[in-house]
Amino acid sequence: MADKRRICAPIDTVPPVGNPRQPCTAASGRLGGRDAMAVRPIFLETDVNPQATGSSLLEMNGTKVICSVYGPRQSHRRQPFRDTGVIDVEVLTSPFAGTHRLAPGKNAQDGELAALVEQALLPSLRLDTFPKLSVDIYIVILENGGSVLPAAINCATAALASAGIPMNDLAIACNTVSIAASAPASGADQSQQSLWIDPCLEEEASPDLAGSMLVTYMPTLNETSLMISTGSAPPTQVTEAFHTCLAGCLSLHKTIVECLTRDA
Amino acid sequence: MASSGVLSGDLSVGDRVVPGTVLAATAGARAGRGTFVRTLSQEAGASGTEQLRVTGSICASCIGVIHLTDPEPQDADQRKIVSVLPAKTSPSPVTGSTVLARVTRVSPRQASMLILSVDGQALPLSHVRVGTGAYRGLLHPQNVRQTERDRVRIVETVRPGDLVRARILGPGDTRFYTLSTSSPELGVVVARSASVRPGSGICAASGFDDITDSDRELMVPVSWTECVGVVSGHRELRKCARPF
Repeated sequence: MADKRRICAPIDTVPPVGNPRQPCTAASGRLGGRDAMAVRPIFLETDVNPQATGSSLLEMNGTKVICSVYGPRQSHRRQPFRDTGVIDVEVLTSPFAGTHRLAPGKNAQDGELAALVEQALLPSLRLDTFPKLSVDIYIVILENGGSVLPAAINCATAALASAGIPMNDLAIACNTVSIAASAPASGADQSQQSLWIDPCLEEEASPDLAGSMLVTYMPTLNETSLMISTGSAPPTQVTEAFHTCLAGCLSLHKTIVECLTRDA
Repeated sequence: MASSGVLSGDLSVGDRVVPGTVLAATAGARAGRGTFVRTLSQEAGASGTEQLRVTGSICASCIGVIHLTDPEPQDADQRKIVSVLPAKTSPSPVTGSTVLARVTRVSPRQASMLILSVDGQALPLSHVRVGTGAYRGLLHPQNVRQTERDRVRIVETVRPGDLVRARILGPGDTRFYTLSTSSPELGVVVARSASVRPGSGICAASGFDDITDSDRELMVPVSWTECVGVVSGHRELRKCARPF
């Protein structure tokens, strides 16, 4: 019986738009035809949070991260007396950061990101200049468009520098993914793998993903503070990925230094 | 490039630098504020009493502008001092700095205080609210004054609500710095009386239950052991700072 009380929807309905983001494959190449060695342009602004000692907003196309730094100040945690300072990193992924809504509040991945960011930043800070005090770093991921851990590290470095925390050097992070060009033929198990620097979300979700590498590098000290390598590859490929990340870190360092010295 | 015989590369005085930038070599300059020395090599001095000679590069440790200052004429070390001065400095208490603190609690063995300003610079609100990282200090009886240090009664030297100028003796423990007022210019700057302000309308009939610090009368130092109320003239014992 036809329902006369309301206007009914048509019988045939289709969802408005399917998820237009298709993961990139080796055949399809990078999203938007980006060059394999091209890092996404960044937008960096400091002192965006007037309440914090230092803060920064970093955007790399689809990835947006904001970081606030408070300190050095008395730690709110009960800690034994130390004659060096400590840092306390908290990462929060916003519910609207991805294509699907996340439950508000911290999830397990945020804790892991925070531990990695802390490891990346520690060698760059002069902790003995603020004994028994703590520097609190709060990172909020506003939008996850790929390469979110390097973006968080770079954002935190800029916020720490703008807060005036004594540092040894700027810790700059960059990552690459390794894409297997074709299905391995018999006898040639490591076929041509191409390296894509600074992957976006579609490239990180590629079905042809063979591995990834993340490096946090301090250019003046010439030291690495964090290196994460996944997947399997021969040593030459791992070394190549490492050097590609270093080159990316150096070019990011130049841009970030320009941003920091320009903001008066 | 006037004085850049000392500064490395094409840096000059007044350039804005970021942490990690190499500024100069230790051969020609000394590290000042906002810089640190990245050691390349160390060697012992010629005689046993000479300090370790460090060879390395002086690098910036914060974002700021390069300054080059001349050393004092009587200084044995005549190298210029390279420093990087940031646009804003957030003060943090170190041993030897002078602080202004408000007394929060007094007991026979110590007086605990909330530090409000360091070396003349007021702390931002995020560093003063208790619970979010406030700096707190303890004053022990033996650090109150220079003479008869073991016969001090804390209740006659500071009271809750007083504003005290003190010096930081040491980092203390995780929660409290160790403070000292044993110097003529240290001590109570402004005190709050034990009695209420005349004219505040608070009396025995209205009850004394919820008197706040601002209801109590303001007192100013008249000697190093006494404060006097500004309206009533009522005197109380304090260890007072010499007014400037």
